[in-house]
Amino acid sequence: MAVSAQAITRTPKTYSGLLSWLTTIDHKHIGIMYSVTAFIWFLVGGTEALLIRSQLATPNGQLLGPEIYNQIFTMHGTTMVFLVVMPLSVGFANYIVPLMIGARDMAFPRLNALSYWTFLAGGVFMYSSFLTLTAPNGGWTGYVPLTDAVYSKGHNIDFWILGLQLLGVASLLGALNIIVTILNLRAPGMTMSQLPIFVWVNFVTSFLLIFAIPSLTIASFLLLFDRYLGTGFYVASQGGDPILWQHLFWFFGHPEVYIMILPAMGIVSEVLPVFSRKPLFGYTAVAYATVGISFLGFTVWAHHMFAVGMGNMADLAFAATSMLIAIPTGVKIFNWIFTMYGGSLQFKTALLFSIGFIAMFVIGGISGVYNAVVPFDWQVTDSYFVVAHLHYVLFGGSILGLFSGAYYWFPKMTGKLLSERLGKWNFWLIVIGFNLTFFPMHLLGMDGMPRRIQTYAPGLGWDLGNLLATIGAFTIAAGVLVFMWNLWTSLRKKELAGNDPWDGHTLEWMTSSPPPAYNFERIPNVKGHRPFWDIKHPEHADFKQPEQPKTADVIHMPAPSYFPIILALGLFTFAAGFVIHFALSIIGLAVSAFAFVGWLREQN
Amino acid sequence: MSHGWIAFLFFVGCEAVLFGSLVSAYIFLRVRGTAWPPAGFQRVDPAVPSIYLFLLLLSGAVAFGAELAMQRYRVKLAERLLLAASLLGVFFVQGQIYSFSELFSDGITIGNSIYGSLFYTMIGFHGFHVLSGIIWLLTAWRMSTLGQQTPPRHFAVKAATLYWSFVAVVWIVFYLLLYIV
Repeated sequence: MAVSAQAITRTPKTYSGLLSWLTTIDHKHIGIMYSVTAFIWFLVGGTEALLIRSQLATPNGQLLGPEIYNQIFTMHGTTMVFLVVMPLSVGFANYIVPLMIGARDMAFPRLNALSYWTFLAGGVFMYSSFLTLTAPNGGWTGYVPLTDAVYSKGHNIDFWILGLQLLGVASLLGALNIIVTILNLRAPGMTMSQLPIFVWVNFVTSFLLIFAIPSLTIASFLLLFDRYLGTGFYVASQGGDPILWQHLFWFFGHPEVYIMILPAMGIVSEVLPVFSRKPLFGYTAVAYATVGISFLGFTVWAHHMFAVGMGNMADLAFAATSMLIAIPTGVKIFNWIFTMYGGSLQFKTALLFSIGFIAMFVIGGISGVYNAVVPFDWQVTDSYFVVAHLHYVLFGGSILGLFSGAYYWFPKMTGKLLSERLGKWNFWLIVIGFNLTFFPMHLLGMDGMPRRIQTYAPGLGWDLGNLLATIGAFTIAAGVLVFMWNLWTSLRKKELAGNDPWDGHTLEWMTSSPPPAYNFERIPNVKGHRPFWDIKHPEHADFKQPEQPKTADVIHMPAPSYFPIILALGLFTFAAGFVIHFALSIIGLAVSAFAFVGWLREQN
Repeated sequence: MSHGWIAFLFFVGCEAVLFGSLVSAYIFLRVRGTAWPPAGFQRVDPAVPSIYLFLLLLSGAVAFGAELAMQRYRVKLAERLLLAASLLGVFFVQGQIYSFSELFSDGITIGNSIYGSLFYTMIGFHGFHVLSGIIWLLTAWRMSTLGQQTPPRHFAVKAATLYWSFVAVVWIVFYLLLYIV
């Protein structure tokens, strides 16, 4: 598809090597940085999981004492949610969304870089707490009174709160960027009602981020005030209420889990059609279902609180909305299945992971409906049943979806194909290991095993389930090692993947692999949500494609900038001052102000 | 709509949820409490806060006038109105500091009851945003005097004045909850 064009690119500054990565504002480089950083944290979070499973493999485990155990499971959850699933999703969104809509970059390239560096700052800040063995230890949900001034002395929870503020800023800025990019930078002819589903879900997810994060911000600030200013927002004896924390946290926390699953659902919605060689079944229904899930997602938060004593009316209301949300989810599942039905299935690893997503997410969704039944929830709340449910949807769902995206888009990002042979080993080790780890937990939970316990006595009937779960966890680890081996060897292959190894549907496959800095020599004119397919196969097109532009584009690309990383450093220093010394916060503020002003004055 | 304007609107939407969370926390705690104010505390006299509410609303109207002036290409007038709005905003901040000292002398501290905790926190959170709004108004003023705000392309003025209106509306809600209802 290469056309000789007189594209003129003007980039005022260019750096090479490390400096080019520190100052890049290219969405593709930022996407890779997000993905690599998040993958490293996946390994860290996975190691934390292996430590947990090793401690729990047998009764009366001696590997980890209770205090360090609390830090390990808290950081496992916090890491996987905020430092793995979210940034991996954003990494793909960053790389792929501008390409899919036919744009040259995001609407705010420097803001994009700032989001990445602030994300890195937040993660590093949280993990620096391990240096003093004062890592966050209140669970990823930070419930009071455990995390208040009385029961959590020391800075553990402060690292958690402040780290989350940094991560929240990164996510918020990213969400604003995605929304403006999708609204304003689409190729001519690409309407909002015919966006590729991956683009649509990222658009919707950005809305969720913008309206959910503030609740967590307020929850955290009130906790910080309780811890340091003597307020009693969450303290009953001072006129406050510990339940307030749960309401504010889960008003964020429930949309958060949809933030984590929707991008993976978007990946599946792209992979299934390509590898079934059929358009997505029920495109409009899937798009509306996405909006339905998101809207309803704001109405269910207190289903995490059935056991706190809200009263029957509240319990019933939230049970009803929670069951309702199964409907649009089911719509999507059936549309995915019907996409494959009658298709010419190419069982590449990307497709295997997407099929795995559907199967595992359905199981997780079913256990979710069980949890929505209030009396059942009273029995299994805070037990391993909940651990099973959340891992089926987050690992079996989000992570498998992200692996699918990795196998699908790796050739576009690197120019090389991942090995299918290793990919299948990767897939089966992970899926078998995953089910071995988490299926027994349904039974353990119903048998009364609480979550977040450091050890358990023998003779309770929990021994076999825990042992199987630990074996499964190490099987997952083996699968991840195979993936890393696949990455390593595939990158060093000589064979190139070419522009379009999968006969793809969407515009990213129109570019070279990897794309040039400016993405497209000429922004194409398009119609429909499979524009590239329709261009390639006009005899089978859903929509007749418009004429392509004849004249070359004059391309002006934004210049790299130092200010995003400097501003992130300033914010990091500002946060560090809270746990080290206030002078540092003043310095951080000054550095941030300098970067902010420099940014505004920079010619870009 | 321009990139910046869309981003700005969503940012204001985000802040609306931020203040909404604070309002929800206030309503939740007040409804669950037995008495309001709690035993041993008096309701704060709304007289002086009413004056400062009026000042803030006046400031909002002046800022709105600045935007209207810009739309009618009366840049010099707009600049003067931006300065005036900022000045009124500073008076408002002074009024809030005064209300802190009044609370303190009434025996209400941030820590000795949920009443005080809510008062200081809500006034403080809002006050921080008022300060940001003043900086934003002054930045728009400075950009205009440097010739960088030429109507109809006067994004900084548009954004600053809309933000200021938002901050004023939030205060109407807070004022009603804290002093009247």
